[in-house]
Amino acid sequence: MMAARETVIACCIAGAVGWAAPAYAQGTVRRPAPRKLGEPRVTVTVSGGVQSPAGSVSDHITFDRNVETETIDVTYPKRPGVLLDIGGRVRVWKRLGFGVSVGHVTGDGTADVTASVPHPFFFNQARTVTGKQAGIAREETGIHLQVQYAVPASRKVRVVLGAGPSRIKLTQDVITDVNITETYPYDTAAFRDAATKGASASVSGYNAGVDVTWSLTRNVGVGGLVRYTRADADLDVRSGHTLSMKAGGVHAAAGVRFAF
Amino acid sequence: MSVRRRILPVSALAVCLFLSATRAQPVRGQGDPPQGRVTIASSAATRRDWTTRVDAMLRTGDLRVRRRTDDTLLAGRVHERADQFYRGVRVFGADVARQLRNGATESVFGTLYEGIDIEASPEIDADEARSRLAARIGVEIDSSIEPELVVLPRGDGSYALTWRMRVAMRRDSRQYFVDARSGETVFEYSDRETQSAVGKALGVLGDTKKISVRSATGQFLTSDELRPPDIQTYDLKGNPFRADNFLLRRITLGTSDLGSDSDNDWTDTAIDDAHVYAGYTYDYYFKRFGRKGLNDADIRVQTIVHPVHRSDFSLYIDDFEDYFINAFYAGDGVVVFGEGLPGNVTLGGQNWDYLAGGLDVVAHELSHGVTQYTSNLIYLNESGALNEAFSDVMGTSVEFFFQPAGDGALKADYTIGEDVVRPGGIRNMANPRALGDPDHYSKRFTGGQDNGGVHINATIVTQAFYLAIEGGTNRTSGLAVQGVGGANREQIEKTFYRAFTQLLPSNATFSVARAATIQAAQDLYGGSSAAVRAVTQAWTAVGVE
Repeated sequence: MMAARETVIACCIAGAVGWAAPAYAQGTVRRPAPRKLGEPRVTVTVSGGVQSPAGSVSDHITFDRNVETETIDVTYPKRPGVLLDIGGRVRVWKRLGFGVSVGHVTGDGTADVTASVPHPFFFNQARTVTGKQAGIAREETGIHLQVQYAVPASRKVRVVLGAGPSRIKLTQDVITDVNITETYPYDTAAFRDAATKGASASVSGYNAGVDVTWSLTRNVGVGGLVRYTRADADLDVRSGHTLSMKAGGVHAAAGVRFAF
Repeated sequence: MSVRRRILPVSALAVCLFLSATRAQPVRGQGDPPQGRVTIASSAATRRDWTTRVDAMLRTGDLRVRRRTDDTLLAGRVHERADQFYRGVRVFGADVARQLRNGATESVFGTLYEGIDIEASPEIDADEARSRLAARIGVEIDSSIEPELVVLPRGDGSYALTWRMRVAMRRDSRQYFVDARSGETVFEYSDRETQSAVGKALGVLGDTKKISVRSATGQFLTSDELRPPDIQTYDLKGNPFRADNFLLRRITLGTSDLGSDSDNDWTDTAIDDAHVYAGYTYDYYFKRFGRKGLNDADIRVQTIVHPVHRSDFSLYIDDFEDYFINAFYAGDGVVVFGEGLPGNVTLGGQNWDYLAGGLDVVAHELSHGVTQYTSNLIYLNESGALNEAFSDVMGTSVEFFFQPAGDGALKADYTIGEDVVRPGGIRNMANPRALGDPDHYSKRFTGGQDNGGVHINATIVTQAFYLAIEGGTNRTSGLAVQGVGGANREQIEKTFYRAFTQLLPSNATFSVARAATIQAAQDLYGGSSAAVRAVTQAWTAVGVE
């Protein structure tokens, strides 16, 4: 369900950007002359921004404890991450080019944890504890390749559409257990904190997006990008248990552009 | 204040050993000392360098020899252990072990910290550190515990001047490091070298229960590490002479005598039930009355199982009858559970299973310990019968606390020992006459046997207990009692507990017990309460005025 929704979002972004340029051209009295040779051969982009949350992620863990089954339910934080993106584009034929960018996303948040911890002395008398675990960090480093097309715009504005494969390394703090405070007779327990570990996976996916540049000089400009990336990762939480999580999201960033 | 941690091995063999030890280190926790740079080299040149350096540090006092011992295996070898000091303050975890051969360094291993740059004078003194820690952990720290000023290498690469204290508590022993400036506890860890474990145990009646044990090297032992007192169950492996010697205080039992299991899936049913039910009994007294064990101060409980083997029945029955068909409290928290009889042997038409398999039996015996440390009812005549009656009352109450009411195995009822002495059990509180015991004072046993009928006459008292809860009519007097009802059994349990542990003198008679229980009910529930009415009617019904 989420995948379909995000795919639609990506298409909308790409579509909206694709339609925006002709609309701008049709509505402009002073239509700029097409720049046959004006497209830069090489463009370098440096942007900072945010990545949208990857969607709700929850986990259900079971394992043996006190001769019974302990269960832990985790809802991972859904917060935007900070994006730093550095990219480059080479025009290879007319308005077509290839681009590559490296995006690094960091963020953290608080996970909600609920656990059912078996009693040490008696069967079927599990204690339920709930709590929040702050500092659940998430980090993504993605390499995004694109086939790009520069949409005719104006002398000052360059619009580049692109799409292609991505390779993303996702590192995520995952909750593996809960630590509880309990004292004899152990009929109740309180959540102390959660045991975490950094789990990582490198996965392949795709990306699509648009980069808009406003040229300030012949070689320098400012611009923004909107890009949707998506990959699916399985993170190893405990022996025999993995957590499926989406990597990527919608990137929105702005920064400087260098044209050569 | 960067941290550089160096580990200094020299000989090749020793390096291998050290590496093995390093791999065995536990996972780091928050606040662990830093994992700094490790340098391992085995060349002669390195050995010379470190020898020179260690010697220089010994001269300046940055290293101080803690111990020097002769090698007992290799002549001419001496082993030195030296601690690192920073401005006169020991650096925690920083020491060197050097092997000397005829005065020359043969090997050096160690961990040293470089780049320490902190003020070495504390701002709070040892007493202040002790009191601040005591306030934080809620434990009174004896003044004999002398804090040691140490430099603590911290996980983030910094150092802290701290007061180190080892505080031993009942279930744990912890090392605490209190910042000598702020008074905050900056690091702590448990150094108790045993670990609790929860296993699965098979009971005498084939039921499965959890068992709290100790995890030791390669095995699990019947020592409860989770409850406040030491509850230990010893397996005497069918050696009655050893049991005798223990009860006569000629020997003590040690770790090797504890019940053991390799996979924590326990199958020796007698050991399992003795250990588990001793824990249940502690739980009952704690939860129902807030009592901490037999002496209300968590005295150790030692239960003994397998004092004989059933297969030795014909060999030992004459000399060690109690070890087959009895369970008894031997004083000071020691309880012995009989082995029962072989399947083809009956006594009084009954089969005798492992006596530890009866929850009421276990609770009964341990309740004698409660009596020992409270009223200490003299084990003769009526006071002795009250002693036995209290144990039956508590044994039955423990059953009702943990088991569903009903007839049959592992069900709570008013019969004592019915799960292990089959059929019928050994005493019946609801209908004492069913097993030939008196249910009315007029029928009391007045002979000299059984210490003046301590077991026989106990049923007069326990019939009163039964009637006060369940109500009904005494078969001898025909008097009816309006009980408080099973849902309110807690009232009568607390009434009897209060009377028997706090009000009764050691030579109490049944009449005194009547007055004491009525007084206890009034104290707890008021003079016009149902409990007072039920207890009064019950004593009258059994002929005790």
